[in-house]
Amino acid sequence: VTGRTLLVGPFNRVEGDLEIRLQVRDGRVTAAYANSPLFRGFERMLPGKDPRDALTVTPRICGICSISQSAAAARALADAAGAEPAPQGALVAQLLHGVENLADHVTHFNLFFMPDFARPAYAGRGWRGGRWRPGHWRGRSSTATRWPLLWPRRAGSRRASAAVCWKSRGCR
Amino acid sequence: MNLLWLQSAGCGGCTMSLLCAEHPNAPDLLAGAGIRLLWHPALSAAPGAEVRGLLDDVLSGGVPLDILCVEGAVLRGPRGTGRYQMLSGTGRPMADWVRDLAARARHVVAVGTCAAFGGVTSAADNPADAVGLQYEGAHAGGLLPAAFRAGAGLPVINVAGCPTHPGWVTETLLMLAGGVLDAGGPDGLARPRFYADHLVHHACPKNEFYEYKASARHLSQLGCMMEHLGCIGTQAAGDCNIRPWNGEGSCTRAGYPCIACTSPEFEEPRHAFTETPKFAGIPVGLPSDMPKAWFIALASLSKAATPERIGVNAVSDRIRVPPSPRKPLP
Repeated sequence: VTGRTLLVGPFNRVEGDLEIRLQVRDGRVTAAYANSPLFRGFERMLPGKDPRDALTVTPRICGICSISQSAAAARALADAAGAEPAPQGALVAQLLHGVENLADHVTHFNLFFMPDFARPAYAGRGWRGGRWRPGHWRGRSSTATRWPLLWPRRAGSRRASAAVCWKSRGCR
Repeated sequence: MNLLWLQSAGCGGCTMSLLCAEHPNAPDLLAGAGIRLLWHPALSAAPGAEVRGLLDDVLSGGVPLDILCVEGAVLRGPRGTGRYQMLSGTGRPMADWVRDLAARARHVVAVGTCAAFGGVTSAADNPADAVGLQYEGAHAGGLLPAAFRAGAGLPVINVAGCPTHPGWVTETLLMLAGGVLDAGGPDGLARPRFYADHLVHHACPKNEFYEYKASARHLSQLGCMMEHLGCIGTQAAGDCNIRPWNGEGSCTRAGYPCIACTSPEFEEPRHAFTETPKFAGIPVGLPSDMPKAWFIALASLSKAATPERIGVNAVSDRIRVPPSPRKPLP
């Protein structure tokens, strides 16, 4: 009977500010803990300030979803003031928010999520390069090929370079 | 050259900004400059144990560290322990990691105003006791003492901005890689002079309104935002209107007042961001290097001389009065 603790961190894609601790016993996870090891105290920055400052401060909660933060702040301010946006203004605000949403889908998929599945460690997995093969990810469009610097390749090895492409089998 | 990028207490926006670098884009630029990215928490694939091994190798000297980029302020709280931010998986405060890695680095770059001066992370009563790498607000001496010099002899280079312009980061890295950023490179706040010697005011499209002090009264009006709406582009370091953002934009181009996000303590202007503090009707903060008496004299003269077109457009949300075409010569 063997038990051990796995500590996962720094965690990629979330600025490193996530730590996972797993307790493993007899090959099974018996307990899992998630820890967010960063406290900035952002919630305490606005009290006492001019309410309009929320539009400047809240987007800086997160550099990825800034517009969502400021859109929420704008709605809260409008709500507090009993104000209604002009129809065209409401449309523009929704367009801005929609654009961020669109950009974030692209960012999330290409930068924050899929790269981990493309790691060479998964080259032998069935789901990697199996039947499901999205045809539109041709050539240079995968994160692995667009961001070659970020992907540790074994020098001079064609095979290694194929392995970092998450389409792996049959793509070259 | 080896580059290690750490994200301490910030929002990650400076990395997102860097990804918007164009001509060249960030990966091409690093490759072209011969810079190898050892690790970046958002961009690299290597996780957990590999990173911890890498950091240990850097500390032991096994892997040379040419450039250490830190994005985000460093947290000293609670009570000086730094435990408000632990580098996950290591059981050690980020502050300790940054201090130790900085001691190994040939160059240390503070990416963004948080890393440079504390920035927004240190706003209000600074709940997490955030500080910049080598500055606490406008005062020299932050996590690292004022006398700190990285291996190559330079202090921490403050690529300040909230967020930073991708071009400011890429140019700084290129200059470091080329060995041309010397002691004369950074300004009095250790910001690279190639962008800090400009004012945001330079090439602001509202300059014609500024010339006549034809001022917007409310956001979304076309006029100059200095007199009423809190714009301090005439005092703010940055080439934002010369080197636009994302190919075309800037805050003032979009009708938002410059809040001098490249400056220490910009996060606490002591008034609403979009409101100009005044004394006897005159803005308290005057353009850089402008004597007050002259400013008042020029402002009253130029206000009196404001053409109708500029005066009307300044308080309109679109051009109401177009420029008159010149009469053809007889």
